[in-house]
Amino acid sequence: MKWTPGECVKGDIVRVRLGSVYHYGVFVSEDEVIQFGYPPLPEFADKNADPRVCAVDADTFCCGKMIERGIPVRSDKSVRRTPDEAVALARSRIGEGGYNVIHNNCEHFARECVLGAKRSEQEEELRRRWHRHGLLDVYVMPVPDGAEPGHVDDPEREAYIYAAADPSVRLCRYLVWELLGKALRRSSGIDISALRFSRALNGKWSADGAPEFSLSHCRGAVCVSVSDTPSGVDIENNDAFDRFGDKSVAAARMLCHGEHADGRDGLLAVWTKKESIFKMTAGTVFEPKSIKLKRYETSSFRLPGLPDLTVSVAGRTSALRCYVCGADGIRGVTPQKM
Amino acid sequence: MKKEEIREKLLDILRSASDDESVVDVCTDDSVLQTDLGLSSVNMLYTVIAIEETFNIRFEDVTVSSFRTFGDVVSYVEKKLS
Repeated sequence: MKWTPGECVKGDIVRVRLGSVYHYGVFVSEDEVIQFGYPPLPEFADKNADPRVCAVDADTFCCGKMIERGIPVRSDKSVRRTPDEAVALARSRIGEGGYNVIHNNCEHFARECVLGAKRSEQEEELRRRWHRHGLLDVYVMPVPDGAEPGHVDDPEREAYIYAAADPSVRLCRYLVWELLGKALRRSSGIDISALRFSRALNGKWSADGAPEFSLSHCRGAVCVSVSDTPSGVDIENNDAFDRFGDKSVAAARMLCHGEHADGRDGLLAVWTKKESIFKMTAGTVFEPKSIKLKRYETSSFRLPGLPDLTVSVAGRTSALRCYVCGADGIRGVTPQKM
Repeated sequence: MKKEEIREKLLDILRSASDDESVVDVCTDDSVLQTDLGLSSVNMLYTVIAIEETFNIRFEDVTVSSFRTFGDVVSYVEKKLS
């Protein structure tokens, strides 16, 4: 069906755009358009309390907006009813109820009368939009006071954790797997103990049956991403460069040459984005200069209540959702984009 | 599924549906979907479809005005899942 403004004729399927949605009907004449429910506007709230198939004049139907008429495409032509049949069917249903905004709305009604098939392109498009939305969940957990690394059932992961000489790194490695377990359960309904993980030579972990994931930690916090397409995540303390003095800032600037980076925050965002891309692409040696940000979807942000941390994620960022894990459980938060 | 889990998943959906994610951070059961959370008609439809897909339920007898507050949606989903 193609849509065009123009003079409507008997038996046309017609629509008007009201805000962000369309209202549909079957055109009979200027004095009669048959619709399922009134236009979704506040002034018709009473009439729409129990929507019914009804006939109104074209002015009431269009609410002052331009009416578009549906022009059948080739696939529609073979199934389209004759104008008399479409109008007779629409009239026969006047008074009918059973409205459902998703499964039985004005578009379903009009299409069924004119084309014989009960469907809604609006519903189908929104459903496609939801499926396109995808999965990219980022979880951050501050290291709890007094936390200690514990036992891990998986020997390979346990060996990796306890191979760290620095006790704080050991703790972060332990906690990041704890966090991944919570993230997998929440985002994908997967029990981490049912998975067998292995570590590639480039350091990237994976497991059959697991969604894509990425791990990161910094001083005092751990972070993971769980996604349905490859992703990478990196978390840093905001003073990451400061701790090593001006020389490290200068070195980072040199390595990020060619990227726009305002101040140290900007530099940190660029740096962590490059780290996240490196993880997503499973590179072997981190060479910031060779990673061009414009080739990838990335996002840098801070999280409410954690102003000292910068997180970057690479992947399908349109699907990004963020969570903070604390003693009171996991809560969704809105990232403050940088 | 616990009510708190339902609430968290619904907040995720609202974040993806809302034009202004930050309003979801202050969402309570009394938040009015169209005014407090600023959901347009199409975003309401998207929300309902996303809820169907997420919880594998089918909305019956719903109109655009069936749900006034966030708490109405939580209760509806909880009832459908029970």
